[in-house]
Formats: sequence, C-alpha cells, structure tokens
Amino acid sequence: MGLRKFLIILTAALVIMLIMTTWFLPLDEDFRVENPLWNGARDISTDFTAKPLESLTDLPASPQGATLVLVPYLDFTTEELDQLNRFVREGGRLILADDYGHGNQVLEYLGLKTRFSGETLLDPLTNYKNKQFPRIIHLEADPLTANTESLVFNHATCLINTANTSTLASSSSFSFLDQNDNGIWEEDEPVGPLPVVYRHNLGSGQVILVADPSLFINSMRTIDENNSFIQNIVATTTRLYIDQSHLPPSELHQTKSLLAQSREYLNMPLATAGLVTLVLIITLKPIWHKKEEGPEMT
Amino acid sequence: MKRLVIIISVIAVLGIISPGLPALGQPNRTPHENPGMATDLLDTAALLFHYSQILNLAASMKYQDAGETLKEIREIDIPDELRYLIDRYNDLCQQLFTTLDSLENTLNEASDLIDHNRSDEAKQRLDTAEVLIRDASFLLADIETATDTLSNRLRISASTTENRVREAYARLQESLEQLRRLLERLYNLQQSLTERYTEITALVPTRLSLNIMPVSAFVGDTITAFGTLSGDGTFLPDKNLTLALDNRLVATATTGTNGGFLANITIPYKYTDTMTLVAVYEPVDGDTGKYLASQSPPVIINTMFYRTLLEISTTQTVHPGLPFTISGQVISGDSNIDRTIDVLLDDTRLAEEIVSGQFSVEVTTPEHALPGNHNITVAVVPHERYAGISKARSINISMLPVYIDAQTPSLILLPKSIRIHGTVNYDLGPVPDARVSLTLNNSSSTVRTSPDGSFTALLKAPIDLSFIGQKEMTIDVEPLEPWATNLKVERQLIAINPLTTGLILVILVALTLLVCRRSQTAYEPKGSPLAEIIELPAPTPLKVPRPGLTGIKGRILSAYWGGLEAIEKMCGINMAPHITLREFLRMIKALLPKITGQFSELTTIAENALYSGYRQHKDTAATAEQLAEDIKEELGRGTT
Repeated sequence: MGLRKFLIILTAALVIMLIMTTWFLPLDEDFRVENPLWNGARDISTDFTAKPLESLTDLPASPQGATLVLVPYLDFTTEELDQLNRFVREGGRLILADDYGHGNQVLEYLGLKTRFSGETLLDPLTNYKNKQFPRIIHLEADPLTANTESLVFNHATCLINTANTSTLASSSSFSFLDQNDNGIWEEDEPVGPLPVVYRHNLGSGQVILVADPSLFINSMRTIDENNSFIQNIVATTTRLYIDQSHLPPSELHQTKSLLAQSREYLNMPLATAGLVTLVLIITLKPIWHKKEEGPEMT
Repeated sequence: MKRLVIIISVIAVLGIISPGLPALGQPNRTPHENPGMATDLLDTAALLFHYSQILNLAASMKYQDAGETLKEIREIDIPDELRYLIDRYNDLCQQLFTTLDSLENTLNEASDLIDHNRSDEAKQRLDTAEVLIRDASFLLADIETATDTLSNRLRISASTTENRVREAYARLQESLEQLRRLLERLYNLQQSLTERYTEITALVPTRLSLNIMPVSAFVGDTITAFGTLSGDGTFLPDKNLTLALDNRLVATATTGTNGGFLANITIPYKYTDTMTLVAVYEPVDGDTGKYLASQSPPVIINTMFYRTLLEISTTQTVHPGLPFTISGQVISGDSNIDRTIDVLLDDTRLAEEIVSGQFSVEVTTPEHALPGNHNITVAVVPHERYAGISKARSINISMLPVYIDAQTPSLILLPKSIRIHGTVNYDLGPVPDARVSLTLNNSSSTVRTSPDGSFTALLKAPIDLSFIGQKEMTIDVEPLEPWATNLKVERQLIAINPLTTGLILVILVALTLLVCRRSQTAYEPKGSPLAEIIELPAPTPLKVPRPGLTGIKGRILSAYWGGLEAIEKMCGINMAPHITLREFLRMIKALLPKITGQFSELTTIAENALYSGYRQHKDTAATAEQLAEDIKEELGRGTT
C-alpha cells in the first residue's frame, strides 16, 4: 500500500471517527435540553414535557395559556421581539429568566420599566453553602409560589425599578448587590431585601421576571423548593415551551447541528439518490477496473 | 505528496485550535457553578456585622424592623456546634426588642394620659414601665454575656488576623453600647413622667356617671345617653364630654347647670351582640390646672339585628370559558326579602345578583383563569338590620382532556401519501374546528376538524435514506376552545423504502462478487516446486490479444511482450491469463538461467509500468527495449 493511499484511508477513518464521536457525545452546554449534566435543562424538558424551541417563529399562533421560558443569552432581532410582544399581549406567559444576558432588551421593547441589574447578588448568611447561592426566603402568596417556602439561586442578580405590589419573591435582608465585584459589602452597595421574582401584566398575558436562569438547570431543581416553583409554573399552564435559540452555541453544538443538517439534506430524494449512486460507484469501481484492465495485464 | 501532507496538517491544527476560540467571547461573569461541588462557608464577619445592624435598628427604636431581620437569621445554615448558641442569642435579642417596644409604647401612653390629667391610668402605665425597664436591663446583660461567649466560640480576639472579623466584632460591641444608652434614656423618661404624675395627683378629682335608655336597640336605631359630672362635692356645669362606642367617638355633650348631660346616639350598622359606651371628661384651657380627668363606668348596649344564613353548593371542577352554576339559599331572619349577592373567584368579581330565598346563579369562569385550585366566594351584602355573610368553596379549574381516534396505517411504502382519518372528542362531545397537525419526519400536514369532530389529512411521506424501519408519526391537536387541552399523540409505523432497499441489495451483490473474485485470485498456489511445473503437461498455447500500445508505457510493455514471446517460444510455455508476471518469471527461472537476470529486470519495469502511479521515464522504456533485445539475442544464440 502506497503512502498516499495510507494517508487517504487514515484521514477518512479519522473523519468518520470524529463524526461518530460528535454525533454521540452528550452536549455539556448551559441550559440546553439535550444536556443531562448538572448545567443542562434536560430534566425540565423531560419531566414536564417542555417543548424546546429552536426559533421564536415556532411560538404557537394562539398563545392563550401557553408559557415560554426564555433565557436571553444572545441578542434579539426586531422580528423576534415582535414575536415575543405578540405572544404576551395575546395571552401567553413569558418567564424571562436572566442574570447577565440580554433580558433588558426584551423589557425595553415591551415597554416595561423593570430591569435586570446585571450585578451579582450575594448573600453571606442566608444561603445554600456559600454567598453565591442566595436563599430566597421572602415569597408572596401566589399560585406560582404555592407550597414553596424558599428558593435557592445560583450566581444571580436582582431586579430594579420594581413596585412592591408585583414582587413575588425577594432576597433576605442580609443580601447585597456586589457592584464592585469584590465579594464583600461596601457602604454604598444596595442591601436586601431585593426583588428577584416579579410579575408584569401586559395585554392579556403576563411577564414573569426571574433574576436567575440557573433555577431551571438540572442540579438546582432538587435544592430547597425550586422544584415546587417549577411545578407551579407547569401546573398553571397548558403548554410549556423552553427557548433554545438565545443560548450561545458551542463548537460541539454547532458541529452537531451541521451534521443534523447534512443528514436532513441527505434525506432529500435527490441527495439520497446521489449518495446511493456514489456508494455504488465506489463499491463497483474495483470490478469495473478489473474488467477494463484485464486485456492490458494479460 | 508534500502538498497533501501540508493540507492535512493545516486542517488538523485548525481542528485542535478552533474549539478553544469561543472562550474569548464568553461573558465575564459566571452564570452558575455546580452546587454539588460548591464549598460550605460560614461568613463569620457577615454574621457579626448583621447582628450589629440588627441591634442598631433596635437602638434607633425600629423594633419591628429589627425583629423581622432577626427572624431571617434563623434561615441561616449554621454549623451544629454553633446552632444552640445562635438560636439562644436570637431569642434573647427578640425578647429584648419586644420588651423595648412595649416599654416605649407604655411610656408614650403614660405621657399622653398625664397630659390629659388622667392620673389613675397614667399610674398603671408607669408601674408597668418600671417592670419593663428592669426586664430589659436583665436581657441586655444576658446578650452582652452571650456576645462574649459567641466571640470565644468564633475564636475572635485582638490577635484575629482577619480584619473584617475584628471590625465586625467591634461594630457589634458599639451596637450594644448604643442599646445601653437607649435603655438609660428610657429609664430617665420614666423617672420624669413619674415626677409629672406626682404633680397632677394634687388636682381636684372628678366623677362621671352614665346611663342609657333603652338598654337594647336594633342597629340603626337611636338611643339616649345621660348622666352627671361632679367634682369636689359639687356638680360641674359647662364642661365638654365625649362619648365613645367601642372606642369610636359617636357623640359629644356639654353639662348643664346641674352638671347633667344628655346625648342621642345612633347605633352603627355593626352586627355584634353588644357594644360598650363610655363618657370621658378631660379638662381643657383653665381647667387643666384645676381638675383631674374622669371616665364613666362602661355601659353595655344590647344590640339587635337579623342574622343571615347562607348555604351554597357548586361543582368541584370548572373549566376556563365555560359557565357553571352556583345554587343555594339565603335566609334573612324570618322574612324573605331581596338580598344582593356577590360571586367572586379569588379576588375577581364574576357576578352580582339580587336574590330572594333559594337562588341559582350561572357564572362563567374567566377564559384566562389559570388551572389549579381557586376559591369561589358568595357574599351576601349586609342590608340595614340584616347582617351580611359570606361563604367560600374551593374549586378546581381544569382543562377538559381531548381524545383522538385516528386510523393510521401500520405499514407504509416510501415514498407515499398517507391518508389519515379520525375524530377528536372531549367529554362534552365532538371538538369542532380544532387544528390537527400531523408530522412524519420532515413532512407535515395541518387540517381542521369538521363540526362533528372528524378530520381527514393527507400526509406525504417522502423518500429518504432509510430502507426498512420504524418511523414515528406525531399528531398534535390544538382545540380553539380555551377549556380544552392540547393533545399530542405518537404512532409508530413500519416504513419500507423499495428504492434504497433495492440499492442496498445491489451493493451487497456487487460486494459479494468482488469478494469471490478476490478469493479466487488469492487461491493461486505460491512458489510451486519446479519439478511439478516441469512435469505438467505442456499447456496449450493461448492466442492472447495484444493491443497496440503507445507512449512510454506502450513502449515498455511492447518490449516486455517481445521478450515474453521469445521465452514462450523457447520454453514452450505460454503465459496463461491467470498467471502473474512474477509467477511466470519464477516458472522460467530454472529453465532459462542465462536470461533470468535480464528478464527479472524487464519484469520489474513492466510491473512498474502497469501498476505504479509514477510516470515512466523515456530512459526506462529504452532500458526495457534493450533488455528485450538482449533476451532475444541470448535466446537466438541458443546458449541457454
């Protein structure tokens, strides 16, 4: 076997191996419903049959009773903001869960004054394990907080420009907003209770603001009564959607998407026929060559 | 070759580096960390610091706020060895805040009573305040001791290396000092109020009597209150009095020349069995330095009204957008008068109706009502002598489940259009105009149900890569009615793709043929003994077609044929079609040793020309031709 032939076979084998590995390797991206690891959102997708949305154009035409969980880690286009606006005003419920993402872009477009602070909420005392896991103990009586005494957030922020009447949950009095990121409270930094879950009525629908999307990841569901809160969301909706189109895609995810897309293309009749023909040609080539070269060799 | 190696290397390097590039674009804050891997950490400095804040709130007389904040400390995850101490510390603080709050209120009341010359009541408050000050002093001393114990347990000392902890502890001590100063201030206030009390006890005491006529009355009726005011053995004329019913001012009166007073009081629409009336005299203007205040003994008024009874019944489960009936009975005393009832779902009013006796009201659940448990309340509005009443029932708002009966084929051939019939129903009957979406791979079809709930959809199943296998067809039903749930049904179909199945068979057949041919070739005996070859019967010469060859390759092969022909003639052995060049070389090695070297070299050149990818050089062709000539010449000399 010549060196050229060896290199070609080796490259082809490596490519096939990489494709297989990529196809079967589980995703480890934050908030992805395909991710079964601690930072994924597979549990909410499977246990509560939340339908993942790869595009906001897939939102239902009649959003009455539907709930969309949106983690806005990517910028929105005007068309997407229009779709969200229509979804809410026509009776849908938008759960906008953000900490350091683009949630304020949505709020601004919807004409709401409340904003995500974008600064880290720390609670050195009322917490789960350490101050990065603030325990939310002030919960107002509401169908969303039924049977829920406390929530635990994970590297959260807080909401600003809120009214007390619509605040559903606030952090403890010991919490503070770490504006200079030094991990300790300074005299001019806002202290708790700080609003972290908030409700806005808009048109026929609602916007629920949650100052930490990590509430929905697999590892946070079982802590304190986080699961009750999610169950209450599910119990008060007819259809649950979880947006995946505003999560930053990793290389692995992009490659998987590319492979899936390629598979879709290959599933098209013309491509299928072409592929089969190619396989036939490659398979039959040695036989063809034998026949053609026969007289020369003898 | 070099080019190929470079291209592959570049692709490999890019493949290794590119996955790391997105790290440059990650957000600068961590969205979360694995809670399972997070470390437990009690922030001692923060704990002390927040205790100091709580005590500061108390020192600022914000006892409620201090108490509320203290409650939150109970939510802290405290190590077990500190748990008892922290709990006890919290209890002591809470007790101190409650005591200080009571003390402050009591002193305020005492001050107010002294201002109005109400000496007896002021004395009671001052005595209570004295007890509370003593309790607060003990509690503060306990807290100071507990603070020392806490600092020992937390190993806080002057040598503590962590500045934050030292600073927080110093703040806590400062907060305790502020509390001590607060207690001193309150003690001084109590003392000054006691002095003022002593001063007013020298004033003339007064006495106030109070009677009513009648002693029983319906709500809304008017009664007459009367009595006298006296002091220092004489009736006091022209003094202003106030009359309060259940601590609410209802009338004022002025005493006449004989110290008597009279007032008409309308009983408010308050549906209780009794009300308490008192008359109060508080000296004003010039009388403040002369008379003490007085309050009449309380007089009980028996109030009468008609009680209302309400019975309601409703269904346990209702559906958004669908009406339901609440029935019941309103009994208003002995009569059967019209009463107004309000029907509320949680805090939302659904209906207001005027009913009499038994009633049946139809209300509609709001379309946007969220599924789950809610309260439905029926409230009878109070009306004059008739008291109001309300009763609540828990109801469950739920969506009506939808059922589908769809006939789907279990076996399909691809590509094909599948016709699917079915009906959509719920417990109330057929579901009209519901949106039915069918999806099979990338193909989908959407139809709406007819008034009888039936639908017919045509779904195109396109050709794809599969050949035989199971496919999942999804049917989504979205009813228009707000009270009906969506439905998703999955059906498994066996799909056969004749085209791909046929092609796979062709490939398998081709592969089988190829393998058979290869194995036949590989079966040829290797290195057969020369004796066996020689003993073989002379093979029949084959007329092998030799096509005209051109170019360098042609020249080389022509030279080989030339040499080969000469050898075949000499040996009488023809090169059969199944014999390779090397096998033929091995066969004639023993027969023609003289030309073995030349023919071996010629065979190698011919093999290279036939099988090597390299372009053959002109010199090689010339060498081959020379070797062939040498072989022919050698054989022609007959020296072999």
